[in-house]
Amino acid sequence: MSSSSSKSNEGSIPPLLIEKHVSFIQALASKKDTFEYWATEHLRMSGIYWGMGALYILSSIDKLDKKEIIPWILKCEHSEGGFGGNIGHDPHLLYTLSALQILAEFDSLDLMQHKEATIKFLSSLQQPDGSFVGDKWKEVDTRFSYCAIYSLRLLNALHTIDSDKAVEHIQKCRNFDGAFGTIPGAESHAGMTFCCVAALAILGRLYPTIDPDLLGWWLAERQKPHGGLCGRPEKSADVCYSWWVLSSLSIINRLHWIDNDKLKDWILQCQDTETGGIADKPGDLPDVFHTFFGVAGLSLMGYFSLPLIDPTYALPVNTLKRLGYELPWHKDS
Amino acid sequence: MDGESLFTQLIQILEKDKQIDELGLVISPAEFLPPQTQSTQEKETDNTSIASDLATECASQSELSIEENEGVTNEGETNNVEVNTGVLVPSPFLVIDHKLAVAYWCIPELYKYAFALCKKEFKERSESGKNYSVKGLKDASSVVLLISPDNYTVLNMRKELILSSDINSSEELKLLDLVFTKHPKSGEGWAHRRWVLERVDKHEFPSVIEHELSVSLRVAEIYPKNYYAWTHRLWLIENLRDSEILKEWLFRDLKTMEEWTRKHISDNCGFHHRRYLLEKISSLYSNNNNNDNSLSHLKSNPIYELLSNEIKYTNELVEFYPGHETLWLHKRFLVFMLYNTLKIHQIPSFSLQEFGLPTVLDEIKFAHACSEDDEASNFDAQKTHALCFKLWVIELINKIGED
Repeated sequence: MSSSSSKSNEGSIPPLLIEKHVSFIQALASKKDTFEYWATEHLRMSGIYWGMGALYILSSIDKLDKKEIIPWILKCEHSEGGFGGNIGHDPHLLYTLSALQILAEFDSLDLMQHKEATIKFLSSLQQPDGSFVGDKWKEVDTRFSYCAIYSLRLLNALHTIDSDKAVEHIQKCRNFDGAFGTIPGAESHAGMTFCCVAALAILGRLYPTIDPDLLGWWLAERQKPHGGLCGRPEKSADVCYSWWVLSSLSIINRLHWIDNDKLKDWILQCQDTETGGIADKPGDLPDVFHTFFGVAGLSLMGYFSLPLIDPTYALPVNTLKRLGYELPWHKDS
Repeated sequence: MDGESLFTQLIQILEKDKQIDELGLVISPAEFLPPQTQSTQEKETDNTSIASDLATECASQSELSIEENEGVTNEGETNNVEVNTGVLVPSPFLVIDHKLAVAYWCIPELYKYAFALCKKEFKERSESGKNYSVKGLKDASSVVLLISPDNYTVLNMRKELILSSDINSSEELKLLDLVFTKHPKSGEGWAHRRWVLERVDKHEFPSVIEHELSVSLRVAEIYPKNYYAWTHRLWLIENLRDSEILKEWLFRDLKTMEEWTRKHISDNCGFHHRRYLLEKISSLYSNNNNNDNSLSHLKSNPIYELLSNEIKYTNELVEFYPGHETLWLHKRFLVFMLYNTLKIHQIPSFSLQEFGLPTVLDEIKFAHACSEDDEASNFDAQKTHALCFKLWVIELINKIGED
């Protein structure tokens, strides 16, 4: 196979633009009152987490002002338990997880004002059939299985849920192809697959629910000819799947089942060489979400000597070691 | 133009035209106006009579003061409104033929105002404040959701309004119909829709389902491979509790899906839905008397004939439209279902011929033929998919053999 023809499709591949990405993320703080700012206002907590994650991988987490962020997070904490996506927003599982992840990273979980209430909130989200809902309005989704199990792990309160039932529900969401959907019967989707695989990993129950060869096959087939990864058959590639697919493969020890070099090159092509930041695909506008998952994918694959991020917890390996977590899916090279 | 004036203008537009059925966010509404004979006005301030009519009517009906409407004079004149900087800007809203266009530039101010108003009204409501206005909260929350339906806190406020009967279900579904024309992938929006539907009386549910299934399909057309629209379809069927009605809908949907998938052969969602329907039908029928393996009993389960037809249908499409991953994945499932789920190889009286089903070897030979047909269009892709299918099936059969 000729090396020149298999390489770029849009010209040369830029290097990893670390400084530009750091500036891009920092600049987001000042871009208030734009359409994007308001359209994402309700999920700011996750936005901060993505920014934090990206800055850590780019060795610039010191650019985040802990003294500003932590008080803001605590303002999003509800006395009845849980965190909202921003000040003035209702508590929700998604933003509870993001808040806990940031607090864990900054070694500030003990600053929570309503830890017990949050534990109660989290465990109350489990339904009789083992599934999890996002809040009191009861939407079921396997994403919530991951978020609840992970959140409770961070608060050392996994004993408050029924793990067997949780695993049972996840099994019901598995399809013939070995991958997982959002509810039983739903189409296999790389994002939900990550959530299910990682949830099982946290519970220490990956096997026998997961058939690693079958699942690895489905995940590997997400790679498109140009190297990027998509989330479902015949969909186009998107940088965020560099995380969902890659981390799943990593957890089942089959990261080498996709062409790492090609994916690396494709991620690099998704960078915005002018403003910094990474977009969902080459040429599109960048955002913090894709910037985080793009560099996280590169870190997982071991390129550019980037600080290590854990595939199950999507947090720095160092942080998790500090918290005393076992990471059995890591193979020391 | 400040948030309050933008908000008031938009509410008036929504009240004036209750049949608005499509929403778009645009750079400039002016580009959607039909071409006019050139006036002496500059291009930026050129608005057709439609827009200025609308603005004139709004102005006359509203409580806006004359100062705020300085730009509006007679019909045919512009509907520009003066802003603080003294620069005239065109209206950010335009309605033509019940389609509403909203300009991006006004959204930050509009959204900020509407969301703040929601929080203020909701707080008043929670504290039983005398300043609370149901209409105020309804209006503010609909504007927020038209712009950002993922604002789950505002969705929750509307849930409370539904619980207190200040909003009824059909009103809410209608708002969501409009929202989905612009935001078909709003996960929160779909979850909210399901919450609303769950409150529909179970006896009325079958009649509601027809409309909902068409909504799901319509959205799936606007935005192909829309995971939410298809999960919604699945959810609707799962919520049919009466097994006779369920059976009826399963077969009906299988028919609808056949036509749809024929026209959308690279849409894995559609084919996955067929897989779901087949599995559901199979589980509904195989619950009766599992121990009876007589041919007559097997024949009473429609699944074998359905699978036979499905294989023929899929192979037809594979030959007609070579190189589609979706179709080959569907083929994998069909082999899986026969051997892994239904375990036909373990049923003594089972005869593939009786049901017109191919053997595994037949399927592998079919794949082999496809991988050799280099005259076919899209041959490289077809060959790859065919070979992967062969390997996958061989792996499956090996695994089954081990058990």
